[in-house]
Amino acid sequence: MRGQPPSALQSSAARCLLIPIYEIRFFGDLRLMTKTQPAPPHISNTDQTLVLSSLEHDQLVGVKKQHIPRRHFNGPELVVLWALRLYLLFMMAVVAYQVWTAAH
Amino acid sequence: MSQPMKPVATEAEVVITHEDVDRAHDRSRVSAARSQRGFSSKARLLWLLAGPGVLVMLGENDGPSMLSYAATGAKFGIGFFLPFVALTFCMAIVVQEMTVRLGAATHRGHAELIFDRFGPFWGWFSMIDLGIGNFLTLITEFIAIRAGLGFFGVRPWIAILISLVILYGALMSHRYWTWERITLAAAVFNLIFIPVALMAHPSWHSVGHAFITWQPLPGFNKDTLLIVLADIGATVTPWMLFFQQSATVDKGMTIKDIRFGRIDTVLGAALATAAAIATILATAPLFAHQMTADNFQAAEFAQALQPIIGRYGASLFALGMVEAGIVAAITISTSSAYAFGEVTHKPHSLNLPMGEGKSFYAVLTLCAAAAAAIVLIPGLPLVYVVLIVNVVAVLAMPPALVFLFMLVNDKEIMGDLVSPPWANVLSTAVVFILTAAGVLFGISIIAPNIFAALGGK
Repeated sequence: MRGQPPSALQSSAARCLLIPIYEIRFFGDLRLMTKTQPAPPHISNTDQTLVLSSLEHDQLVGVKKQHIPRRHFNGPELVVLWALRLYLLFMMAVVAYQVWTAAH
Repeated sequence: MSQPMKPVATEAEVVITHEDVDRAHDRSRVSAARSQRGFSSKARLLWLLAGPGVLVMLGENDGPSMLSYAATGAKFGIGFFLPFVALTFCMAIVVQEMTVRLGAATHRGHAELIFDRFGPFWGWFSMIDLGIGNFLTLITEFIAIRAGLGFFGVRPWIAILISLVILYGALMSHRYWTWERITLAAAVFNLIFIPVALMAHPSWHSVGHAFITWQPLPGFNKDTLLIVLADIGATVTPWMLFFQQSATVDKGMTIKDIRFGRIDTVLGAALATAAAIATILATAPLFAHQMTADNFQAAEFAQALQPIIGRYGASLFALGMVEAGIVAAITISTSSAYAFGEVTHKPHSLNLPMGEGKSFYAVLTLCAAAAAAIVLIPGLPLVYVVLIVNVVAVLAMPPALVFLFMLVNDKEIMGDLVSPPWANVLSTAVVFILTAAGVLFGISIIAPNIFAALGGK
C-alpha cells in the first residue's frame, strides 16, 4: 500500500462501497422508489466516479441523512448540565438587570 | 485501533448530489497535493486545507471585540492585558482544535451531533443559546460597519447596503471554496490594525516588559472585571464552535487532514492575536493622554486617535472596524444557517445551488437582513447591545463547552480521536475560568460592596 498515491487508495476503497457504480448510473430505477421522492440530480458518469474516488463513504450527503444513535446521560452528567443551565439563566437575569439600571 | 462509529446506509438512500460533486472536486486537489513530496506540495496542501481556523479566529476579531480591545488600550494602556489577550487566544486554540477533530471524524456539524447524540431537549437549549447570541452579535457587527463608514461620511443605510451586498456577493458562487477564499481575502484586512499601532509609536520596551512581567496590573474593580470578561468574550464564543465544525465538514476535511486543521487554527489565532494586540497598542496613547473612553463607539475611537496618529491612521482604524464587522457578519450568519440546516435536516452547504439550498440561503440572508434592519431603526438604545454582547458570549460558553467536551470524549463517535488527558485538563480549566469570570461578574453587579471591601470601587 505504501508508495501508492492516496487517490489510488481511495479509488480502491471506493470499490468496496455499499453501492456498486452500475447501480448509481441508472437513476431511472431510483426514481421509481417512491412517488413523492424528488428526482435525483443529473450527475455525469465522470463526476460519479470522482465522487466515489475522492470522498469517504460517510461524507456523502445521502449517507449523512442517517442519524447517529442517541446516548443517555448518567447522573453526574445531568447534574452538571442542569447546574450550568441554571447558572446561565441566573446570569442572564443579572445582565438584564445591569442593562435596566444602566438605561435608567 | 478503535474506529469512529459510522451510520450504515442502505443502497436506496444514497443518491449522489451536486454538493457531493463540488466537494469531490476540492478533495481531489487535496489528494493530488498529498501524493507529492517536497516543501512546495506541503505549502500547497496548507493552502488547500487552511480556511475554517483562520476564518473563525479573524471572524471573532469582530466589531465588539475590536471595540473591547480599543477600550482596553484606552483604559489600561500597555500592561497586564497584552499577555492576557494572548492567553485568551491560547484558550481559543484549545477549544477550536476539538471542533476540527469532531468535524473530521464524524463529518457532522456541531448542532447535528448535539441533537442526534443528546436528543432534542438539550439540543434546543444549545440552539436557543446560539440563536440569541448570534443575533445580538450580528446587530453589533452592523453597528460597527455603520459607525466605521460613518467616519468617512457614508450614510447609515448606504453603509448597511454595502455590507449586505458584500455578504450576498460572497454567496453567489454557490461554492464553499470560492466563498472561503473571498471571505479569507476580506479577513486578512483585519491586520490593518498593525500599521495603525505602528503609527501610534508604542514603547517597545514597555511592550516587552508587559509580556514578561504581566505588569502593570490593573486595579481590582468592576470596570476591570467587565474588560476581562469582554476580552475573554472577544476570543471564545459559542458561534465559533458551531461555525468551525460545520465549515470543516463542508470543506470535506477528513481524519488525514486534522494536522493541517490544527495548523490552520493556530495560524488563525496568531493572526488574530497580532491584530488584537495591535488594537490595544493603537489606543494606548489615549490612556497616556488620560482621555476618558468609557462610552466610545468605533468611530469615536478613530476621531479621538486622529490628533495622535493623523487622519490617515484614524481612517485605517475606522476601515478596520468596517472589515471586522463585515467578516463577522458573513461568518456568524453562516454559522446560524449551518446550525438551522443541521437541526432541521434540510440541505446545508455553501456548495448548494440556490434551488437546492433555499432554506439554508434564506436563513443566512434573513438573519443578516434582520440584524441590519434593526440597526437602521432610529432611536433604539443599541449601545447596550454593544456593551453586553461579549459578556453574554462568555456566560453562554460553559454550557456549550460541556457539550463539546462530552462529544469529543465520546469513544463511540470519535474512536481513537478522543481527547488525550492533557487536552481534557486544559479544556476543563477553560470551563472553570469562564464560569468563575461569570460568577465574579454577577457578584460585582448584585453585591458591589464585596468589591469595595476588597479594595476595589
